Amino acid sequence: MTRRVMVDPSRCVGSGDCSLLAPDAFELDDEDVAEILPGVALLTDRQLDEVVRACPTAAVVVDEG
Amino acid sequence: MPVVAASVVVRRYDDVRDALFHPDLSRALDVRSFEDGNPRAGVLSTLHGPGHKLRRRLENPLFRRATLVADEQEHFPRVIDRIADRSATGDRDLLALAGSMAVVLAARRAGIDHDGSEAQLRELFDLGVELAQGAALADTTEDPEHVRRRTEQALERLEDGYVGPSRQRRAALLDEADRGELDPATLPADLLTVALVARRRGELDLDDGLLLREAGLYLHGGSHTSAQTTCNAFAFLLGVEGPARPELLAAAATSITVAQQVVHETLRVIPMTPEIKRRVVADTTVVGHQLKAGDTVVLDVRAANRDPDYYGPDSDRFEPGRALLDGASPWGLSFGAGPHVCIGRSAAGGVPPRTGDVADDASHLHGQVARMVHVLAARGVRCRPGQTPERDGRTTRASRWRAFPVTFEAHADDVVQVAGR
Repeated sequence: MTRRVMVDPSRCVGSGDCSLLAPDAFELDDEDVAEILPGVALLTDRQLDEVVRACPTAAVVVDEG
Repeated sequence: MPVVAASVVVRRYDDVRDALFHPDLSRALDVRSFEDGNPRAGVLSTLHGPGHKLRRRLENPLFRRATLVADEQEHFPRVIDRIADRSATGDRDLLALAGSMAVVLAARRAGIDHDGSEAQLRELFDLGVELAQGAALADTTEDPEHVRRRTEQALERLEDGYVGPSRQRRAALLDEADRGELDPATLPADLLTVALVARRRGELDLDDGLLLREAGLYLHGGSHTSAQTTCNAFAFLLGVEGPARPELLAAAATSITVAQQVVHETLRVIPMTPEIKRRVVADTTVVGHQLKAGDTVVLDVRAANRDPDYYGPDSDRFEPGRALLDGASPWGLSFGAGPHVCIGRSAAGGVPPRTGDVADDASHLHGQVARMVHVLAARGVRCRPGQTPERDGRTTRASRWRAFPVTFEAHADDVVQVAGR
């Protein structure tokens, strides 16, 4: 099973929780919208779930393909 | 008499969390509590929808990782150690002492200037306490009109003594930057500055009155709750709440990682706001309940934080470092969740160690409350014989203290000695 991680920019308010929990996997761009770094591939499923649950606007989405 | 009447009470962890994400539940409970000339009108924590999103976008950058790491590594230790050196000796009131530490950090984030003296820090903390009473109007045991008047007086004093001059100083700095006489990178990174910048750009309509109220929110949100949580932590460690935990007291004195576990568990067992209230803004369904616009939902955070499905069969017990089930936050839902989650949560509580990570990594964020607990424990804090801490009876929120008399031993070694008594 593959997983695809996405950020919905219309939902993201730049709270930065993703980059606080996983600075190697997420950072905020110049518009304060979360963007995904290559390090996201190194997150375990549980770590990724922690990031998804921490996002206050449910902007981080994981598609389990 | 309560300001609002409950129509639905939600208690399970998942249900409370789902409700906190629900788009049709607003924090603005009623006109008298949050609008209509009220001292809290228009502050971040009462906004809903697009207005709330715009304000969060403005203020979120104040809590970026780089800022928080710099705070943890430089600012928190300097401030907390300096105040501990000055005041963590002999007989003290722990609430006032922790308050003087937390208020420095809160004022810095808000952009409220002060001279650092004990007198000004005490006044700022006391003003924050008054504003906290106004923020918890729905739970007051006093005459709400009386609380409203005191809140307005506190705001007047805050404006005259602190926020007004602070705002003027920042406006002058922005003028200098506009004229090219000051590097914009050296401008203060605080609420007042970012709000004034946004106002000059026409991005947000924030008048001086609203800026004052917002700065007041930062002041009490960042100081009162941190000081109260510090007292709650020591209530557990010193045996005011349940049996004394001398082994934990000694461990928190030597390890900030343990201190953070103590703070997270304290927040879980004694959430600062035991019940979160929401108003339904459109006919909808909330965790299976069909509700109409105007109905009220009470989210029982205290019960959710003790949900055995997430925290185990001993969830009523204070056990820092307890094993968490998948998806459970170590502090429960005490900072809320969803769009209205506490904006200062990472400054206050740090970041929970990610599964598989080591918490004492150099860049790990422990939070200012853990730093305060760590430093105060190392100073040998203990209960003052013959004097019992007193809960704050001015609110139905049984999470707050009115007075917390303690005595400090001189050295950290004494913690072990105290623990053995």
